[in-house]
Amino acid sequence: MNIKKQFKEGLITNNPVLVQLIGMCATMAITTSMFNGVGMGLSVLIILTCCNVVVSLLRKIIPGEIRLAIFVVVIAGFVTIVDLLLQAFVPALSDALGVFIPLIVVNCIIIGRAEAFCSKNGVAASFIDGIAQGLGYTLVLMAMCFIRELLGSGSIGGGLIDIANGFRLTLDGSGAGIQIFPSEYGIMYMILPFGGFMTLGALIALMQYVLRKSAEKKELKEAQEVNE
Amino acid sequence: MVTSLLSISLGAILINNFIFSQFLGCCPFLGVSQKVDTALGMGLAVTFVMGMSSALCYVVTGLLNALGLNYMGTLAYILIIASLVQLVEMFLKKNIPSLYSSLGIYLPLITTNCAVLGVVLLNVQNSYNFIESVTYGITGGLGFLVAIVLFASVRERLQFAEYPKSFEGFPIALVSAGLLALAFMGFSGMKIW
Amino acid sequence: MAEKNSPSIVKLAILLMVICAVTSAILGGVNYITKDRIAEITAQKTADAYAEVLPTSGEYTEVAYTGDIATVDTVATCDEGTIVQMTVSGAQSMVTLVVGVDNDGAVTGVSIVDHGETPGLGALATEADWRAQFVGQTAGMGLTKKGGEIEALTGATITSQAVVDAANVAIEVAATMG
Repeated sequence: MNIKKQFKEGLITNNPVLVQLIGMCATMAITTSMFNGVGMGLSVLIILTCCNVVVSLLRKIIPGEIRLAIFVVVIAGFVTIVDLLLQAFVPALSDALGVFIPLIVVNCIIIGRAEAFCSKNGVAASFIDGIAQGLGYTLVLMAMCFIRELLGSGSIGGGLIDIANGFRLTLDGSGAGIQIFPSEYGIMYMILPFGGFMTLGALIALMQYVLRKSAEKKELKEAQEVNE
Repeated sequence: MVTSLLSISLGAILINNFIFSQFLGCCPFLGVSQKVDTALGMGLAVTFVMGMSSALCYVVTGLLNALGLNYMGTLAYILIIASLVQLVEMFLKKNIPSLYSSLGIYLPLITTNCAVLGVVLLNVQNSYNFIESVTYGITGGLGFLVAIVLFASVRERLQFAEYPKSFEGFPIALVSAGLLALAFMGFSGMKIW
Repeated sequence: MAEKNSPSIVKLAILLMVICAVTSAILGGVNYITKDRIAEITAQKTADAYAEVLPTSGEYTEVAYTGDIATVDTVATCDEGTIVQMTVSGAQSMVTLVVGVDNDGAVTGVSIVDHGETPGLGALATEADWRAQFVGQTAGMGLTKKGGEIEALTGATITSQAVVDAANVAIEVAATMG
C-alpha cells in the first residue's frame, strides 16, 4: 500500500476535476463563496470515503450484473444521510447549496471511484483513496471560490471567516469574510455562470501546462541518461 | 394556467437554461458535443427521459408524501430514472431499431446526467402540479437540446481557431461555453405577464 | 441484463432487495433522529421572518386564505396587523417573501425568505437598507422611475418591481382579511 502515491494522485496527477474532468457541475455552480466551496468539498469527501469503504467491503459478494444498481443505492443512501444531517445541524449550508446536495448522487466522482478503484482494492486502500480524491476535489473547489470571490466581490473566505469581532471561523455561514476592496468594484460577472466556466477553463489549462512541463522535463532527463 | 405554463417553458429554455444558468447536465454537455449530429441525438434522448421521469416521479412524490417518507425521495428518484432509462433502451432496441442505433449509445449516459435528477428535484422544490412538472421536464430538456446543439456548432469551428497549447481540449471548450453563457444572460428578465 | 436467462436472477433480485431494505432502514433511523430538529429550524425561520416584519406583543394566528390570488402562500394575523407570505416570480427565480401590514394598511416590513436571484444584482433585495424603504408605504406604491416612492436596485428593476408588486398585493390581501 502506498499512501503517499495515492495522495499525490488524488491531489495532483489524477485530480478528479482537473485531470479526470468529472464532477464539474457542482464545481462551477456553487463556488461563489468560500463557505459553499468548503462545505460542498467536505460533504463530497465524507460521502466518497463512506461509499468507498462500503463498496470495497461488499465487492466480493456483489455480482457483476447488478453492481451499478447496488452502487447507486449505496451512494443515494449516504447522500440522503448527509443531506438530512446538514438540514438539521448546518441549515445555512443546506440553504446555500440547495439542490446540489442531493445531486451528489449523480456526481461522477463517486460512482467513478466505486467502479474504477474500490471494486478492485481492499478496504484500507479504498478508505485512503476516498480521502485523497475528496481532498483533491475540495482543494479545486477552494481554489475556484478564492478566485471567483476575490475578483467578483472583493472578499476572501466569505461566510467562513469573521473579522468583525476578532479573527474567528464561523461555521454557520454568518461571517462576512475579509474585504480586500469594496464589493462595488468587483467584476460581478465572475460570480455569475460566465465566471464559473472561465475560471474552471483557466485552472484546467494551468494544470495541463504544469503536467506537460513536468513530462517534458522527465523526458529530457531520461534522454540525457540514455546518452550518457 | 396557460400563462404559467408559458412562463415555465420560457424560463426553462432561455432564462434559466439548465446548462448556462443552473449548471445542470454539464458532464454530457462537455462530453458529447464534438459533433452537431451526436449533440442533437443526445439532446433528444435527454428531453424524452426528462419528460418521462418528471411524470413518473410526480406520482411517486405523491405516494411518498402520503406515506410520510419524503426523505426517501432522492433514493427513489434515482432508481426510477435508472430503470426508466433501461426500459427505454430495451423498448427502442426491440421496436424501433433505427432510432435505437442512433440514440443507443447515449442512453446509459443519461442516468448520471444531473439535469434529469435536477429537474425532478426542482419540480418537488417548486411544488409544481402534474402538468407543470411534465412541462418543466420537457422544456428543460429542450433548453438542454438548444444549449448542446449551439455549443457543438461552436466547437466544430474551434478546430480552425488558434489558441495556446495548454488550452487544448476541455479548457478552450469551457471558455467557449462561458461566452455562450454570457450571451444567454441577455435573456434574463424576459417575462410573460 | 434482465434478458439473460440465468437461474441466479432470483438470487440477484433478493440481494438487491436486501441492500435496498438495509439502506431504507438506516435512512429511517437517521430521519427519526433529525426530523424534529429540521421541523424546529423551519418553524424558527418563519417565526424570525414574522418577528422581523411585524413584531407583536401577542401571538400570530394562521388564517386560511380564501381569495383567488395565486401567489399568496399563507396569511397570519396578530393584534398589530396582518402578515402575508407570498411566492412571486423575480427576474431569475421564484422569490418567497413575507410582508407585514398594519391595521391602517401601511407596510411594516418586508423580508425575503428564499430566492435564487442573481448575486450582486437582484440578490441585493435581501439587504436591510433597501427593504427599509417599504416601511410606512401604503397601497399603490411604485418605483421612483415610474413616479413612485421606492428607489429600484441598480440593474435589478425587475426584482425591485416584483417586490413592490408583492407588497401592493399584500396590502390588498390584508384589507380583505380585516
